[in-house]
Amino acid sequence: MARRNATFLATALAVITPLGGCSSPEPAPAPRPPAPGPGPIDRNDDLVLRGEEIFFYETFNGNGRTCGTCHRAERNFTIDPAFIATLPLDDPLFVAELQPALRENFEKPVFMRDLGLILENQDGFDDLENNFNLRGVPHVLAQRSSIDSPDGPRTGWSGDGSPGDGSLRSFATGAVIQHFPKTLGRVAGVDFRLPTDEELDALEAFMLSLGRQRDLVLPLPLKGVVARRGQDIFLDDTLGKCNICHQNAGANAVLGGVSAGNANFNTGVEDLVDQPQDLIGQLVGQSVPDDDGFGTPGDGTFNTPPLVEAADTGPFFHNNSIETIEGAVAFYNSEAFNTSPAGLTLASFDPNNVGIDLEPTQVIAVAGFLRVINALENLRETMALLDDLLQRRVPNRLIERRLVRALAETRDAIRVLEGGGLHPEALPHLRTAEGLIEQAATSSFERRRNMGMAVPQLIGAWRELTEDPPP
Amino acid sequence: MTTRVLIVAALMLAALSTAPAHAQKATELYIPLGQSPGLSGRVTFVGRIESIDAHSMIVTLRGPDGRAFAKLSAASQIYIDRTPMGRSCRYGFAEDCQVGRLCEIKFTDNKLGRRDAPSVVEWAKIRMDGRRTQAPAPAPPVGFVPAMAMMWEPGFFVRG
Repeated sequence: MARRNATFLATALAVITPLGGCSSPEPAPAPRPPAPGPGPIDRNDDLVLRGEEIFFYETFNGNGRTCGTCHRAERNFTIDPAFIATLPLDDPLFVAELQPALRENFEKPVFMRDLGLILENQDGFDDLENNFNLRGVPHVLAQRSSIDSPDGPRTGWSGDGSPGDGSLRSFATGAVIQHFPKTLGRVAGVDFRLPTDEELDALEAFMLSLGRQRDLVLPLPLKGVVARRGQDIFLDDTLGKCNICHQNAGANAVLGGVSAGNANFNTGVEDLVDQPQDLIGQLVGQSVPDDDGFGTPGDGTFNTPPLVEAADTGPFFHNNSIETIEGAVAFYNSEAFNTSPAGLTLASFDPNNVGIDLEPTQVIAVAGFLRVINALENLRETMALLDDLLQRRVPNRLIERRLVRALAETRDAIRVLEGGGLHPEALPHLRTAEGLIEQAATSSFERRRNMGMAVPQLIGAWRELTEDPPP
Repeated sequence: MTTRVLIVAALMLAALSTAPAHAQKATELYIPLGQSPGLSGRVTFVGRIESIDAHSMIVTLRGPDGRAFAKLSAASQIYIDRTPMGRSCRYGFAEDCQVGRLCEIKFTDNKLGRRDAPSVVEWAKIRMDGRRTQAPAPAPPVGFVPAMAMMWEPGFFVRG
């Protein structure tokens, strides 16, 4: 009977995983077909460029913040404590410390500075003192392949971040009300103005243009043995089980062979012990309410972020409770996860009733895989940015900003590989490229030459990581 | 065998996918009447309150597009839009539905209700601009049962 059940489960999981999971990848001799889907959005389209201007400069007559105050271009459109520590005291991020009308119940500055947490009132504005959540800033990369579900778009950490019709287009309206007001009265036309339809269209187009435009097709022909083993574990629905909810390391689940799109799960993050926000809260005498996730009252679920962009966008989870990508993978070994609704469901389909149970070396391997695919995405994005500049497709006023992004992407690639002790042979290429892009960013003298010389270095780094041809 | 596999797959789908997608409601409070992105002008109805049936909790509105029949439920959220007065919006009560007031309604099924089949209100925004309404608020009708009296109390429709 046990064997029959095991066979049955294996068959079921084979259905759940159309890619078949854990076979060792062979080097690919030719370019593989891209994932199906619409073509990339032109980041130099007029509507996208208009959205970019609004994103970084429009305050909506509010407290001085813009979308880019928290979604920093040079930090992958998110923000983290290390970066916050470098900001001047009068940065609009700190309006709660600067503007008396926002001093109480608008932000919790200690948690913002130490953990990068922003105050949200998802469950209503009727009890500002006690009814709030502190959440990290989700990046807005790869939105095009990350927020669609059969039930409609899922935005923000709990999938219900947008007001109105819940679409990405509507997101800015809620963000202005939550984060931009001059006072907590939040009177439209007095404390801020709401985005117009034209501005919402432009902001949506800009956000959709950011980062990856489609999902990967795993397995990739990776060169590093650790990352390759990590990919095998990731894809193995009887071991890592990652690919069930993060299909192709993206944000979409495939359950029972059926695409569920972006989905919400209760993975038990809120049940972790010794969370940084609780420890700091005890220290400063401020308690942080539990975050109940999706809906009002919440059901404890949060939506699934894409993993390709994970390694350089920590801290991790909705409350920034884990600092490193290794820690984030290890979370799925924890009691908090394995006793959560999601963990128990996974366990119920396991012949040994195990949710996820990885050895430390396997945790490192999965994290190494995530680091390498993140670095590949850094390289792809950098080359795309430089290509736009070299082809003279970028308006003059945006050249330096694009170079700053290209430089940040290159530095991220260095950081995520070095942090995992991965591909030291790629690092000299990356450092050379970093120097050239930095020169191009800081001086228009020989800018095109420096950009042109950086590209072969980026290709060299790419070829150290994967057998796939460079984009 | 195939059937069993499909059953397992369906169970897994049901177990893991727990929540339907929908919009965030909190900031809707502060969005003035007629400006809810993706909803206003598309699936909401804007009109003046023409009559109120307190027994059945049905509000009739008349707008440029005709009439709508809206049924308030315990889950219906009522917002008071005071932006024309430069004042903060606030949560409202059923009693804030008064004849003559301008009102925007989002129905749970995004369909306008008919007289014989009114749609349930997901949220209603009532504009207060400092002017008197065309008619006073209706008193609870004769024969008002105790359960309905409780629903008439201020705060009944406020989110718990």
